[in-house]
Amino acid sequence: MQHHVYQPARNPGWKGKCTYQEGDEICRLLGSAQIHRIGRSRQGPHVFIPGDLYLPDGNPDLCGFRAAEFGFHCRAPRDAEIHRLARKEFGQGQAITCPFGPHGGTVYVRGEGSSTLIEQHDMGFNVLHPEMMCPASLMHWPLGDAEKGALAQQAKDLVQQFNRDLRIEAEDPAFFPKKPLPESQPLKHKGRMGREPEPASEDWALGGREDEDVPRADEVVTGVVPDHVQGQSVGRSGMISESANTAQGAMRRSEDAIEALRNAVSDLGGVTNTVVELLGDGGSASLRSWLENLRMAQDGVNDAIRQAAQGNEHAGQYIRNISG
Amino acid sequence: MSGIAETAAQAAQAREAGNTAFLAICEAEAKIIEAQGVVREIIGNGGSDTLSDWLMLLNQTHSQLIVARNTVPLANELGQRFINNLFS
Repeated sequence: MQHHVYQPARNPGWKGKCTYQEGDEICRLLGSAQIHRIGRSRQGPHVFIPGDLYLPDGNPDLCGFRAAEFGFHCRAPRDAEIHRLARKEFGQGQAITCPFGPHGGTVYVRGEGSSTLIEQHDMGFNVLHPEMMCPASLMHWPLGDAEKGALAQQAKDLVQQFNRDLRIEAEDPAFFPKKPLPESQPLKHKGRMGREPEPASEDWALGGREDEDVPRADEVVTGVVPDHVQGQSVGRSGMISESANTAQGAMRRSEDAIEALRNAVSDLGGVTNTVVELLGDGGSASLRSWLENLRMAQDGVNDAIRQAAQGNEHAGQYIRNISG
Repeated sequence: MSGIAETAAQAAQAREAGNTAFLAICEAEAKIIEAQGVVREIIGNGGSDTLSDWLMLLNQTHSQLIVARNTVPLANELGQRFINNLFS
């Protein structure tokens, strides 16, 4: 079985094994924009595509809207701006994100059973690079039967591959060991840290075993800093500290962004109040459009603040985790 | 000051505040892009679910900022159009 080895362009040092095999239809269809499903997180199966994007599946906070024709579930948050944009554009429209392209390749659909794909740059999104674009947006518009069929086939392949992988994982004892290891006990596992459990015959004294190098409470200990602190070498501790510092740097940038966005919301709020005042009871069409766009921008910025703040919670969690 | 001139001044001031908001959004976007780069780098040296979640939220933040960044100039343009119409 020949698997692709996924090597993100932006992180060449990182490698992951693609669960798709060489020659799989999905790889042929996607060409350079291959999908590589390499594992699962607590949010469910995820895929990586060039550009190091991460697309979670099965997250209850996500919209989950399914376009019948394509079989893709919406991966955008329920309150994402794209839904509002889609509704504005198509009335009852819903937005889904297909698993291709930057930001998951945003695709807008009119509704279940009569889906419509729109080029994402038509909705004002920046496109990063042609080869990273959503294949749907590279196709002719409107889509012909052959193109719809190709997309439906991609979705079908994805589902089949996913189910096949789940079966393989379920049958692989390395993933789910069915029997406990011989004589395995949590405290005797070879990977455990700390001292060995005491033999049943050993006498214990208050403060630790007698042969152990534990200073008494009234004993003053002097000397050099040990090369291991709390079970971890100082070298590793240094690396952890470096990662934590780097993460804190990113978190600070995100906090600065939130601060700037709060200023933007405040400015936009002031503008909105002025326009509402100018609008009075009636007002012109250009004033109403101005107001509508301002509100849309405010909603977008508020969403961004919320997302960035949530991201910072994860950042804090990560820093706490690695700092022990 | 005439009614029209006063309205135009008010609108121009609002439009100016819109420009300031636009600059703040651009500044925030630059910070978010920097943060994305750093998080990607950390993931490159060994990822985790928490980091992936963080990156995903940063990506979503960036997407929303792109929408806002594109919408504000449009709003400003509509404001300018309103001002122009006042004198036409």
